[in-house]
Amino acid sequence: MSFISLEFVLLFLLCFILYHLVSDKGRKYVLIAASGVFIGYFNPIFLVTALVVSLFTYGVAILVEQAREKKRDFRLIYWGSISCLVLCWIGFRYANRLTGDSGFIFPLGMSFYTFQAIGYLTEVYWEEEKAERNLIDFLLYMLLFMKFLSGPIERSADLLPQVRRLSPASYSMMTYGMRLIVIGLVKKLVLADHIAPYIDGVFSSMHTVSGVQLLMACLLYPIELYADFSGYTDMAIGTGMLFGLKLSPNFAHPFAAQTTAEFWRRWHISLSSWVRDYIFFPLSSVTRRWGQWGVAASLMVTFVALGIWHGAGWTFAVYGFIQGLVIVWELRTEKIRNKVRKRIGKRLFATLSVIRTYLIFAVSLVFFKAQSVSDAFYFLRSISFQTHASWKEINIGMSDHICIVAGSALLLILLYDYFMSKGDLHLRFEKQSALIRWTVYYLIVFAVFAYGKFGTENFIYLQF
Amino acid sequence: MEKIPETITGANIRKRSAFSRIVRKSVLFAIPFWALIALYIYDDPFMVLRKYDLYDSDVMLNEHHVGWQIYRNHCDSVHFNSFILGNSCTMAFRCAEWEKYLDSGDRAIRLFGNGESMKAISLKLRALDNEGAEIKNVLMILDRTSLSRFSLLNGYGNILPAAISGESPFAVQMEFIQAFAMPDFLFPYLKYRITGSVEPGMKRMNPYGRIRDSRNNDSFNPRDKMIEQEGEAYWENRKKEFPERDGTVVVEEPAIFHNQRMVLDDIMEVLHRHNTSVRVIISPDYNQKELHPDDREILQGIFGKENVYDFSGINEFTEDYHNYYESGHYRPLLGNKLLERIYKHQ
Amino acid sequence: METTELLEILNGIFRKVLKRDNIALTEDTTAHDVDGWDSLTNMVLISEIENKFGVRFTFREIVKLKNVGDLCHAIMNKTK
Repeated sequence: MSFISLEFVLLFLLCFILYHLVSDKGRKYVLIAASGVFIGYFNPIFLVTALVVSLFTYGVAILVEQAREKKRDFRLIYWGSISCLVLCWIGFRYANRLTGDSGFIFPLGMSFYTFQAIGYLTEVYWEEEKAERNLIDFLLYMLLFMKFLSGPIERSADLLPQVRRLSPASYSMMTYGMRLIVIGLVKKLVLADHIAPYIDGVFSSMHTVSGVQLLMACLLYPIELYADFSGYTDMAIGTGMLFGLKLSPNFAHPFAAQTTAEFWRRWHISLSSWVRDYIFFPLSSVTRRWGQWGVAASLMVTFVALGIWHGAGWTFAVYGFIQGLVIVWELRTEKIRNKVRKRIGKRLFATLSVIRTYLIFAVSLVFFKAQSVSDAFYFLRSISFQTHASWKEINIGMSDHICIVAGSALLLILLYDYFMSKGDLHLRFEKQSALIRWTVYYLIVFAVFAYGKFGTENFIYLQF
Repeated sequence: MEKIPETITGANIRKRSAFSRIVRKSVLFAIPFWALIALYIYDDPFMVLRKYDLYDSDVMLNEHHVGWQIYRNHCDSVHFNSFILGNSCTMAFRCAEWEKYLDSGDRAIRLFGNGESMKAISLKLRALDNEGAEIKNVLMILDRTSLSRFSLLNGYGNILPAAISGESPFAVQMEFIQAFAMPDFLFPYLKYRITGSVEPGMKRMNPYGRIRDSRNNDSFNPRDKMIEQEGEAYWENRKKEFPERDGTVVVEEPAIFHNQRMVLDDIMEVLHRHNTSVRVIISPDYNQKELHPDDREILQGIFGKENVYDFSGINEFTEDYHNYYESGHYRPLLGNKLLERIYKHQ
Repeated sequence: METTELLEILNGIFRKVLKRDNIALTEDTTAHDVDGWDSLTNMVLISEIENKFGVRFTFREIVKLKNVGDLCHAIMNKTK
């Protein structure tokens, strides 16, 4: 059940209405039932795996806490259960990869909820968090339908307290949520889905298309991925707000980042901060005696892990490896960059840095998107300004109509991001007169309706 | 209502009111959209929501859908077993004319699409096959553009009915609703609804009235009437639509590669199973560009040398401009001659 | 050891590790306030501080440090 489908709209409406009609206690059951239907609708087995992982985590957390209270060794329980979760997850990943198309499917959302489970267990192990005794609350933390498929990966400290005292949203929170959903729809339907088929086309026929087409696809893919994934995230967060839940932000104007290190504080934040807290900090703490080299080694391990989180296979490992390598390189060359900044001026340096960061990310995404490492290398080697027949190839097959629609959408989204980074645009917008607000609403909704590309319902991050 | 102060019970009342307020506002907000949807459902401008006996409309319809519906409307009474497939140039081939060359009792219908893709032809044959139709004769009217198209075209005018493409009916209907919501259609359409007349320049509207036969989807081209009225002046007055041809031989780039071949093989697979008598016509192109010999050979290899007729290039049929409505389409006058040529050959 | 004295020493370490001359720490300073003090440089700083004062923090102690004041207290407790 994708967010953009009739089934989901019906489920959502039913859930939303019931949520506000039942008693305070009933709300949790409404949400848990909706989440169960949502997950089970894809495939009942997905619901089973999600429930098994959730119940396992629920039990282990209590065991860890009890063992600690009774002064027994709880480390074994913790490490044993973490290994169980990781092995199970890797097992599904590889089973999926080895059997190929033969029907075995990787359970949807598993990467996301497994990481939530590991994070939660670690917090309990570190005594930062008490083990949750209320099963319903814990299941909601794990399975909430708006964040189940592709995150955000929630922290127990953020979400569990909200789930415990679940209450309906205020009016302004609801309208905020609805606006976020519409923005997500614009990103997904008016931008990502329009350009996706053409980028896919270039990647799937990379051996026959011209160098300039490869170049364009490489440059456009980060935009597609951003529009797709942040569009999904906006819808997830917006839906959460309609139920009075504040989910974690996942993106903060990523393409404004001047360094790759900064980029990763702005891109897929719930994942990057997860690996920072649970992989990078412990590792760099252990290796701190080695100084800079310890940091570098921890960084490499962390980012390769982040890459592999996306899937089994060397392409994702290389994708992560590149990120780590670039950040290490940035750490080593900070002095030089400061000198250059002084020489050429702040403004020019910032512009060049933003472009450089984008290009590095675009190149690394070729590994993310390609089927194999050798394909990715072929792709990058073949990028050029050469055309087969004419310069018209530069539009990689997109009609003028699509170029205009997607281009305008991109411009609007970047403007929106820019103003959001300067202060909450929504709060300022709410102060405008009703006439202006409703005119803008109508224009945007109508634009989505008229210019959106319906029919492709899948989000890229659904596969992870 | 939202100004109720927060008393001990106030918190709860306020929350409840937030819900009813959002519901009220949403309903209010959606009124124009509901009105448009109501109009769309009531008018059914593209004639895709309900079944009709006659597919005549002031709106340009989706030809795939119309052809398929006409087939479905009559297939119980008229056992169609002969199919004219291909692009809009099928308009030069009248079913009754073709039936003269077929066995007595064979009945033909035209299932075409504008700028038809080979993929669509393949899917139509599959759909007919799944319906249990007998596919005895097939006449395929193609050009280089159609041959090169191995994937389906987008847009409301080109999307295939769900019954043919196997797509979700919801997604197909969405495409039509969206076409309706496009400002460059919607606003002229609303104007048409108010004034009741189609003005020239209105996009995707049809000012000509009946343009097809309701039983076999034969084309009625409004230009036939103009030619009848104007005579030779028809071509004199439309020099712009008939660019000069300089008589040099131009061979087009090859169109058939691996992907196109796969679709052609799919088509042949169905035809083979039905033991179909197939005729492939490469249309006589007014611009006299010739199909690449490699493409012709591939087609002959798949459909049989004796079944492929390439009329493109410079020849007796393309020389006379009287055969054409405009540079893109030729008249039944020429279609009849081609039929005669094809079936005399045997 | 006095807090001011401690801050002076810390200032030196921060300037050296972060390669910036304009750092002036107070007890309320957090990573937010100092250019270049982030998750990537944090552990290098800690390691330098440990060497300087001959102390050793556990991982959890490090994570719980919220500002420079916390850091000073932690050092003073360890060196007592």
